[in-house]
Amino acid sequence: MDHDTDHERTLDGLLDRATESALMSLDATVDVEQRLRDLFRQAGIDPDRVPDDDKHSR
Amino acid sequence: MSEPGNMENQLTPGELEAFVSCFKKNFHPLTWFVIRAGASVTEAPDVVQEAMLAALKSWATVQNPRAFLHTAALRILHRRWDKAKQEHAAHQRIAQETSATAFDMRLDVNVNLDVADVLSLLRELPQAQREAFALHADGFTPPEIAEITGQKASTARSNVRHARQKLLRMIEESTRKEAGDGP
Repeated sequence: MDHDTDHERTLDGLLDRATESALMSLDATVDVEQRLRDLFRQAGIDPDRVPDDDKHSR
Repeated sequence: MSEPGNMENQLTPGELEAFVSCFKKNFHPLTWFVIRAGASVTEAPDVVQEAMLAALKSWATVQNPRAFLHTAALRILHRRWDKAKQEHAAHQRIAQETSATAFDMRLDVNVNLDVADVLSLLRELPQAQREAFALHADGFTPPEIAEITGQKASTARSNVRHARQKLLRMIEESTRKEAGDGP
């Protein structure tokens, strides 16, 4: 039995699942559209120039 | 004449559209990167916001937006930590909030156990290895990691290798401990 390969797979699987979970959680908690509007305001750009999206692009 | 900080007329409509697309595509992945690099869950979006502002200001000359954003995010994070150290506001590099409970509890808590496990493992790495490994996980090659972190390519390669070896050792120890904790 190749323990090293098993551990490599465990680590890679864990990293992938954590990334998926984290991105899901961030999707639910961080409003990217609002962040973009805030950024535009900060940069002196009309926030209304932010195009409306139904979903966030990835 | 445009006001200071007013970028309204400095970007073409095409450039603005490209930036908006980059912002929406990279905000969450970059936030997760910054968390893995050691930021708290609450400060990470603010760090990314600052990095995005820096990108917007230089947008016309940015060749590689992802690399630019990762570089900027790390610099901003380090600057915040340095400032906090100077103000005696924090003594720990790793924020206390990097835990599963800091994520939205409306989601299935089991979904977040993997996040907690990963952050717990990464917390054990030296800062340079943690950052190199996070960049490696985000698809950057050792030469790209070297450029982003300001290290030599050989150092970046070594940091990624040692980080992975240490993470594997921790998983092995954990597995052995679980097997040993039998009835």
